[in-house]
Amino acid sequence: MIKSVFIANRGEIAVRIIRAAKDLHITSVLGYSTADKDSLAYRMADKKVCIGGPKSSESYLNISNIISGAIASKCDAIHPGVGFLSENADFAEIVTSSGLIFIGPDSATIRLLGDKIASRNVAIEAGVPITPGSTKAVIDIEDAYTIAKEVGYPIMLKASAGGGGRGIRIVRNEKELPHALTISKTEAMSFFMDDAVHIEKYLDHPRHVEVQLMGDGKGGAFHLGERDCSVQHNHQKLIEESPSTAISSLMRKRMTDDAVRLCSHLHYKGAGTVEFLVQDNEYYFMEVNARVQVEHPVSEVVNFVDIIKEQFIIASNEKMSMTSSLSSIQSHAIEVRINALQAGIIKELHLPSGPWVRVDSHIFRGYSVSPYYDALLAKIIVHTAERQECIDIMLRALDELEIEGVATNKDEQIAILTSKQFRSGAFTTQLYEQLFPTKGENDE
Amino acid sequence: MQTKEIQKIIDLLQQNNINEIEYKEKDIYIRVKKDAPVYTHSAETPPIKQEVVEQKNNHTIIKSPIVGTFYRTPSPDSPPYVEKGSKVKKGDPLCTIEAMKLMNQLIAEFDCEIVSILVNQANLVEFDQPLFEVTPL
Repeated sequence: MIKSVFIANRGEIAVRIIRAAKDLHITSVLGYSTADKDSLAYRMADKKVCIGGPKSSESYLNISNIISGAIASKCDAIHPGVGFLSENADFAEIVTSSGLIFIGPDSATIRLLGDKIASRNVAIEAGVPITPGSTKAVIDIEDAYTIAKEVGYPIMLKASAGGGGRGIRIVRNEKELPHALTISKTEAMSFFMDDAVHIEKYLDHPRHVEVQLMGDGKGGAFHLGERDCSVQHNHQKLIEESPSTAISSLMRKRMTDDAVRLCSHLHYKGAGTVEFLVQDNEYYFMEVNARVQVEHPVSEVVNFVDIIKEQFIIASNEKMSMTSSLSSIQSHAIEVRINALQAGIIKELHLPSGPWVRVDSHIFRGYSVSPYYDALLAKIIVHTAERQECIDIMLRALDELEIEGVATNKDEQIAILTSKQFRSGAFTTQLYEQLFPTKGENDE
Repeated sequence: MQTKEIQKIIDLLQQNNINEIEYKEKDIYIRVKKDAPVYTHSAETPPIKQEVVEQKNNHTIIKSPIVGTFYRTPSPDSPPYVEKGSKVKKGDPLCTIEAMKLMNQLIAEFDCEIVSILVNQANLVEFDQPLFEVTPL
């Protein structure tokens, strides 16, 4: 088993990783930026190394400082957490070539899955349905016209090096195509330093459903059921739940089987998520997130599995605690993300607790919400026997939640949970825009 | 391709901690490469310039700009770069910090006298960790 892990991350996920390390008697060494010196993760870690200034580029993205810190503090592994360097294939490769264990998939797998065209082709190889569209980068405008005509408008132009909803342009008719192609190539170049774009059918009322997977790196893989992440704003997930109300048990079986087959085909190592879009009783492969995800607790509670712990076990080349995929869903879990709407100091704080409530958070009274990093303050997870009760208890938890000094999205989350649409389970990724029409969507 | 666009690519390189960009579009091909790579196994010793300096009492504290292993000597059998009381000229090396198999020399940014050396040989230094207490001359 890994003896000492260097955590190259911050906030709630750093705290989560430290907890799992403690459970496994692994020494935790936190790499932190000067802005995170008073953080909860800093207080909880066994050792800490300052890896740079407040800007992510100076610290949490500073590969040299992270590797040097890990080696000099005698760690044998690096956990990248989520975001930052977690899906950076070059980083994973440098970690390994420095003689350390990268807690995540192989760099080659990360590289492959980071390329959206390559991952569409891998999905085809594994027999997983993809959205209609191209399997190669668009060559020129003539090529784009041909593919778009085959697929049928509206279509999406997607940056092949993109992901997580970034670098996408919707094209509604042939007239818009030349201009959109030029713009999306330029954008792809400036965001991802790769101007390859491809075409996919645009689904206008989809659900976002993803399957949690754990792979042993040798072709063995288990799934932990699905999560529905359809409540989003500007592609940022706000509420996640398991099981999804969007799929039948038959579709669940097909979708999870497909995800396991894909993971197995890739010899995928560690935790990963296969994202699908579901529309009109069909599902389509979207992408694989080659890391643990923010919303992993939803799957943890419905399966009684500690995903971070399993990541450590798999990275240590030991046998996973799980011996099979989730057999049937017998309970319901919802996660609500509480985000800060601005930076500031938390003056008063009460986090909810009580039956069926789990809170993963890094904030405390006096904590300064930094403008340098993401806005996530807390994840509230409720786990009950069925969905309606789960919503009720989540509302009780949100009612208890008190954060003063920093404006949050709490009221918005309550409005979503109490909406008829969310209650009914029949809604799409457009739910947020339907409930809050004035807040608009970023032009993409 | 406009000079402005080339500048944009150079900016991308600077901002994203990467070493090389290739850009292709129709008949244009451009490749921009950084002089000093961020990661290399080479044993060369490029000086690190950006010192973090802080005032404390009457002294100036020179802090570590990177994370690595601190060495007072250029090689195991050579004498230390500086001792307590050494007078150092701008541009003189102060210590070596090993980061990812790369030996980085920390260079004095101003003339100064070493008041104290705050880190022991071969210890881990963090970003921002005080290394030397000096008096500017």
